Amino acid sequence: MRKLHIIVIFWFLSISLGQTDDNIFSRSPYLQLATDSSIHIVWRTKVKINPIIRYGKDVDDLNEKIGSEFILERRTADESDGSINDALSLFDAPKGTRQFEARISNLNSNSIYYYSVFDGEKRLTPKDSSYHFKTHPKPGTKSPLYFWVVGDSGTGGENQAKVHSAMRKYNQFKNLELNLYIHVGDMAYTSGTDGEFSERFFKMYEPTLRNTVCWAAMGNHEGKTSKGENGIGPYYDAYICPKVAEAGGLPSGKEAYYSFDYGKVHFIVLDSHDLDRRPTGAMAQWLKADLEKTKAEWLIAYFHHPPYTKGSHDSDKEEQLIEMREHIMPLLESGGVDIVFTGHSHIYERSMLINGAYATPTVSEGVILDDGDGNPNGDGPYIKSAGLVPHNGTVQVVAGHGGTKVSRKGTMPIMRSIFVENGSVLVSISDNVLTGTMLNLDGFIRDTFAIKKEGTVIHSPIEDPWNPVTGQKPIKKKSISGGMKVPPVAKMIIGKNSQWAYFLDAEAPPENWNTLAFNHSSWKKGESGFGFGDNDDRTVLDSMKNKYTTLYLRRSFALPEGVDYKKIGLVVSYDDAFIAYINGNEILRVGIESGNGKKVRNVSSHEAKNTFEYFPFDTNAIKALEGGVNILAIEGHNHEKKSSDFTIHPTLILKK
Amino acid sequence: MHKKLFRLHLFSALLFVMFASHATSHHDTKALIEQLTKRINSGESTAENYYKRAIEYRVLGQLEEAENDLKIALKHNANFTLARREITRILSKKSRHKLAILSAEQVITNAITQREKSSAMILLAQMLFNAGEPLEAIKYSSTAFKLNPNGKVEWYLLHARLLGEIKRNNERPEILRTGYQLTGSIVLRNAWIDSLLDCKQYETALPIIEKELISSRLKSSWKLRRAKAYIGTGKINAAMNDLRTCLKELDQRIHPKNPAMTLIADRGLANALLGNIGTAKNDLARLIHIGADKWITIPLEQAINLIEDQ
Repeated sequence: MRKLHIIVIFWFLSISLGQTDDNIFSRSPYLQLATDSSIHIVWRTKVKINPIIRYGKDVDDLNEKIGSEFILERRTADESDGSINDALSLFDAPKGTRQFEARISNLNSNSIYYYSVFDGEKRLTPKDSSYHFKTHPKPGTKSPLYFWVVGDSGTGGENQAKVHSAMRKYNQFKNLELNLYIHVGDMAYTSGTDGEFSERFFKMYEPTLRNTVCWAAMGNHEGKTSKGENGIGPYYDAYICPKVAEAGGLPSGKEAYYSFDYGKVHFIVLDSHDLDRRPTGAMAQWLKADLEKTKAEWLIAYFHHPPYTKGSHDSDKEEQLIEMREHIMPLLESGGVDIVFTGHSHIYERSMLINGAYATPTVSEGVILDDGDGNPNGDGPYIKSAGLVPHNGTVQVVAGHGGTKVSRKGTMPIMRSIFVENGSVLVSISDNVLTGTMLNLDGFIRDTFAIKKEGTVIHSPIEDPWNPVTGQKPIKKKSISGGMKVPPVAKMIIGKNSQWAYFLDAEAPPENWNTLAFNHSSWKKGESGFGFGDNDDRTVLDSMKNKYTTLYLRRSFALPEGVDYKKIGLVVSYDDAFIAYINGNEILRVGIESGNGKKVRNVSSHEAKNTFEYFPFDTNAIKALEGGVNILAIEGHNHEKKSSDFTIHPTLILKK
Repeated sequence: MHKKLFRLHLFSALLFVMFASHATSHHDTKALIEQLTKRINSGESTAENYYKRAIEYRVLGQLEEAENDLKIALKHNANFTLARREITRILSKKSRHKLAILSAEQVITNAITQREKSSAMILLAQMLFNAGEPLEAIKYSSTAFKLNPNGKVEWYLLHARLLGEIKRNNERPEILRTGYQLTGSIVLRNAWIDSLLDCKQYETALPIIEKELISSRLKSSWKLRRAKAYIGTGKINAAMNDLRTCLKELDQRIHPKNPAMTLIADRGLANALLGNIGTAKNDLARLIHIGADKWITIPLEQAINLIEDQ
């Protein structure tokens, strides 16, 4: 037991001091800022060394060398002895830390080099072919690309490790090698301190980082200790990002936002956390200029705060998310962006092909260009015009599921694929096809989508797109003004004065309120009909008067065996209008021109007059029925709040 | 005794682990507010906790609650610079400019290093500018540059804008050029070119514009700039051609229902210079309607007035 105590305390101390291992490296060598002719190798030691990098195209013959004169040495402020530039001192690294940043230049493009770190003549990294790097292809040249996307990973916990391991095993199995790694932020919880970076990022991903450049975007957790305005903090100590267009694109003048090229692919990285996101801000101005300049064939943007999400965060309610959607997305789409990766919200959400979804709250009407699943083996890839064409469709991917606890608030209507589990995204681009795969922490593929570019494609927004709540395309109902005379009844499936669950509130119920899966146990119960005024209601809802216009009702029912579906119909007494659903599918719309719930438009006036009208089930209503238990859900609408009466009294019949 | 000590250490270590995992698992903004409220109500009413909660309130757009928390944080610790900066920005956002200025002055008082002082000066300059006092604001932005000659991209943009506000346009090219040289920022380079055009220094601007036109994929911004230079040098037909092709490209780039603000401004300006005043005025009205910054609307407004006067 005592041994266990010692281990725990020792472990606790090692975490708190930010130490990673016992060898000479306090951060093992990792790659940064690659171009078609150069790369940076960065590492840290706890002691003074004479830094040398040997490299070459043959792992057994590292015939090139750069010495300390070309390697930048950085130390903590209190360690400065005047031999290094104080402006480059490390922010909060442990005392005695030395960070070395070696820039190797004059390299061949698209070529693999092996390397090793030396202290004078003493080799510090093992002779191991995994210590290698590959330079980028020349900008504008054709070259396949394969990269890894991770967000919100930095817990240092088991799930983060499993996500990393799943990616490595998958690549090993498929014989694939990453060309780069993009991190959409929150890589070092809780505050992005130097120690958290060492433990929860560098130590965790060490075997990947030694041969793959991580191009990072800053998350809000890194933002607690690092500032985009001045480029100071542990995040900026960890990464070497382009400031003056070292890797393509246009110079931003700061590491917080930048762009880089890989062959015919242009990447744009933004700081959505702590910089001005308005159109007049320096970042948006830079973005506009950068988009105007690039001649790439693929355009990929990434940043931390998602413009569209209902995961652990809500993009309809939070400042940074709203601003990225309202100010930055119009610019990106006007520049022809193909795909946007984000994090922050701890979930995997992947959209349909969208354009122009800048409104708050986000709606799917008028913004979905292709509502298929994008899966090459399903509905087929999303098709776009060749090259970069403004407003030709974007896929949004929220990849905030890289290691931390995942959760979901609701359903973002533009999304096609949603998974509340840890994982990461692997993306390949080959010629005119981009393919994305969501790999979960157990190594299972949970989502696959593709974008294919060919010819000229002109998209029009889909009027009634696929609905992520019901998982179906909506069956659009035309509004009708009234029903028919009630026919002779063989059987009442739901009779008059039956008990229903009802919901009356200023807020709308959850969006899946009309589906079978929804649990209405918290709703009030009452006997039909419902309403106020005219003395024709069993459940009187006086609180509705002058306050609410909409009442939501739910009731389950089972169909008698051997029933002739064509004889089923609704018989309703109503004042003023209503929409009926079977198992989440709209089957009938009476006196309401468009919209649902709080968003209905043009509600007609209609008096119940103590009479019932008959609405036979059409083919779509019949299709919506299930064999066992069904849910009939009805939203009753009053013409206006100040109306003197309201009634909804639905029944379900089987006619003779 | 030893056993007790070990247990204490073990307990502390486990507490740390629990706290760490707890802290990392709460990233839902509302949940975080609830968590911080619980902490505050259970005795942890520290400046840091009030500050953290204020940030989350701000994210949700609840500025009143954010301001209240920041006031309490500052009562606990008057030298809490992050809280002071945050409340300054919130006050300005709520158009309570006098209080924002006083708050920014306090940030300067609390600043210790040259870096902190210069950054605080810029904050005050921004607050004074927001309050409509550009003449006063420029004193502070100038001092910031004296304290930190390298400056930041945003500082140069603000300073140049202030020079424009106080009608010292002829000084803008120099400060923007310096900023571009020191930072490499393309935003400053482009702002420098715009300032050259405003100061009628067409000979310096035109060669750069021509180069950009060759190397850019989307050319409307550069066509617009070249048209201004052509108008300035009397090449009216060439200018009109540029403006027409600029509009053609903008038609493709501008979303018909939800256009990007800066692209509407470009379209409005191109239309104004082409003499399509009605269309230009529509774009100006739209920009004002969607809350565009003065920096975007003023050049368009000026162009419309100029054409109308002619």
